[in-house]
Amino acid sequence: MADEPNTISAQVVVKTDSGSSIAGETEITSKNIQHLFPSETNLTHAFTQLKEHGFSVRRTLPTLTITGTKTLFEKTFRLSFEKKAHKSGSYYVPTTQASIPSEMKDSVAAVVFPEPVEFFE
Amino acid sequence: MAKARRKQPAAPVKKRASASQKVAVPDDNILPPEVFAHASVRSVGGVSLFESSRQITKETVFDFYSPESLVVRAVEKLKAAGFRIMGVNGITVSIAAPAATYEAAFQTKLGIKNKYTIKEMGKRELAQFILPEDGNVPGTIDVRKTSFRDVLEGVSINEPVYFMGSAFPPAVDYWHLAVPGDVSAGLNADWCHRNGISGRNVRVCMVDSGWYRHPYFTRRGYRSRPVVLGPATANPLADESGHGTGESANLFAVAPDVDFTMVKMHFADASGAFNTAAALRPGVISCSWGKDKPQGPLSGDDLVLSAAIANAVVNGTTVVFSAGNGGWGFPGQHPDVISAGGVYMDENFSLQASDYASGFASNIYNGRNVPDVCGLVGLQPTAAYIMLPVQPGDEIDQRRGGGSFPNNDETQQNDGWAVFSGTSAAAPQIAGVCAILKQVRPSLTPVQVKDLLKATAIDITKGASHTNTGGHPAKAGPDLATGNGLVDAWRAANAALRLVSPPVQTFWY
Repeated sequence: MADEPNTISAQVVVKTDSGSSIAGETEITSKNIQHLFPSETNLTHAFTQLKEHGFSVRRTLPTLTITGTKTLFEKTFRLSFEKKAHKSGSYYVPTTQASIPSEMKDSVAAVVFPEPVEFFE
Repeated sequence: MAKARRKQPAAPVKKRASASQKVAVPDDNILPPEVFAHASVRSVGGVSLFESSRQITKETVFDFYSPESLVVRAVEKLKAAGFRIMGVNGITVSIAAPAATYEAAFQTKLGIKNKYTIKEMGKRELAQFILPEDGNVPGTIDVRKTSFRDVLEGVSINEPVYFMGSAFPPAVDYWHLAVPGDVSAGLNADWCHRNGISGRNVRVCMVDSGWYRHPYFTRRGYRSRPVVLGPATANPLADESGHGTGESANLFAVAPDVDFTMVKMHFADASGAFNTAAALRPGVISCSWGKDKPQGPLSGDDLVLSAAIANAVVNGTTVVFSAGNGGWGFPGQHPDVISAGGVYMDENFSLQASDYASGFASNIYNGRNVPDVCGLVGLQPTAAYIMLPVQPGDEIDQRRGGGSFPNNDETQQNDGWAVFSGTSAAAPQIAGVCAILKQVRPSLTPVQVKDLLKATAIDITKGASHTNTGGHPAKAGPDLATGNGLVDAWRAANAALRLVSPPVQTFWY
């Protein structure tokens, strides 16, 4: 399904059973990813909470993919955004750190916003 | 007075088999599963886009803009009625839905008219036009008696359009490679094809700008699943850049029978698109993009992408990334990927390191040298080297077309062909060889695939990689310019055949 233009997408880092997550690492490879894989309980909890808040959630792994309007992100995670220009178009960059709502704190470690890439033409 | 001639009915559409196999042809009297249209939001000028007596030009278009608040309301109402929102500009909202949704929302009836029209390659064939019953302007829906009258002034059903691209590339007067034959020959894939090894039954996903169904692909019988949209993307049938379409031709040149899926990515959300591709659990993922990361620390997005790649590899997917064109490519330097560098082949089959391709020792991952192996890549200044099909008039077609070689490619800017091949080309070529290996021996792990490619690559001893990443010279044995060298599909396939357990295929020499 196509997303509306002016929607923002992000990756949600979900915690393991022990509370660790990929957000706390400096290097992630096939050698350590299995120790950082989110638990099913936390994944389900995070998925449900995010949907209830109004996000479109894709159950990708090991992070959940969420999309929503700028307003929804601002309201849910107490964020503000700056619009940036790029040769391929414009995109939104958060100017503040995402604040995880209390009802999600047990399962969600972080919300990570993507950075632009270049095609190696 | 001449006798009036009875209007002839439209000629019936003849169903015919395609060149390679019988393909079911949709019945032209059945509405498609989804109908695409543009809903015009009420204009600031007070006159409907569909009823203005003035021509719509750059001088008059401002009268047809719509207030943002009205656009937002229109989008909400359309979504509530069951429409997919494909795009929004200041004048119209692009929508898609089954015919029944249009009929219910706008209290209309959609019908079909088949008309002769000129399609690709100048062919005059029947085309299906979807026409609503009402609307003063042909192809438009009158919304004045519906609940949308407060936000919309009408809905226009999309008409079919046909690009003027040709299945055959234009002639240019400088040495370059043509797909599929020159790329296939250069990577020694033809021997694989003669022995029935062509990537059949191996699912390969490319994460890229999109995929346009160019006549080059359809003429040769290359098959693709429907494009999957990554986050923040729309228009699955279009490739506004041209990059993905062109690079996919490299994959098909090496492995023409792969089970191919393009995951369309937004330049500002590659992680989401990669996750979408990985979720399909393909045998191979090919990525011709990245960031310039000379050193750490890795950002949150870098870690997310690292995790996605690591997870895909743990699940058995072989992941190929371009090394970069003078930048320190990330994730091209991630340890779990096959990092694709560049080798240039001239008209005498002489090989040298491409000075357009990156080669470096990673400052982020200790002991990680880039690239692992190489594909065919052009030289400075613009790597105008492989003639590739693109969506006519797209960004690459326009930017690279016109002008003189080597700064431009001397093709037309709307002919659907462009000459380009940085390490973006190497990744899908190598992905094609990975698919060949997976067909020979489906149980190969990503590590085994990488080891086979490295063990059988052709060593390169001439030339040097891009000066931005050190200008490392190619020398005997593995080096920072070309890694283990240029992939050799036939040698790699034979090496896979010789692994201990019985193989799937037997080769004829």
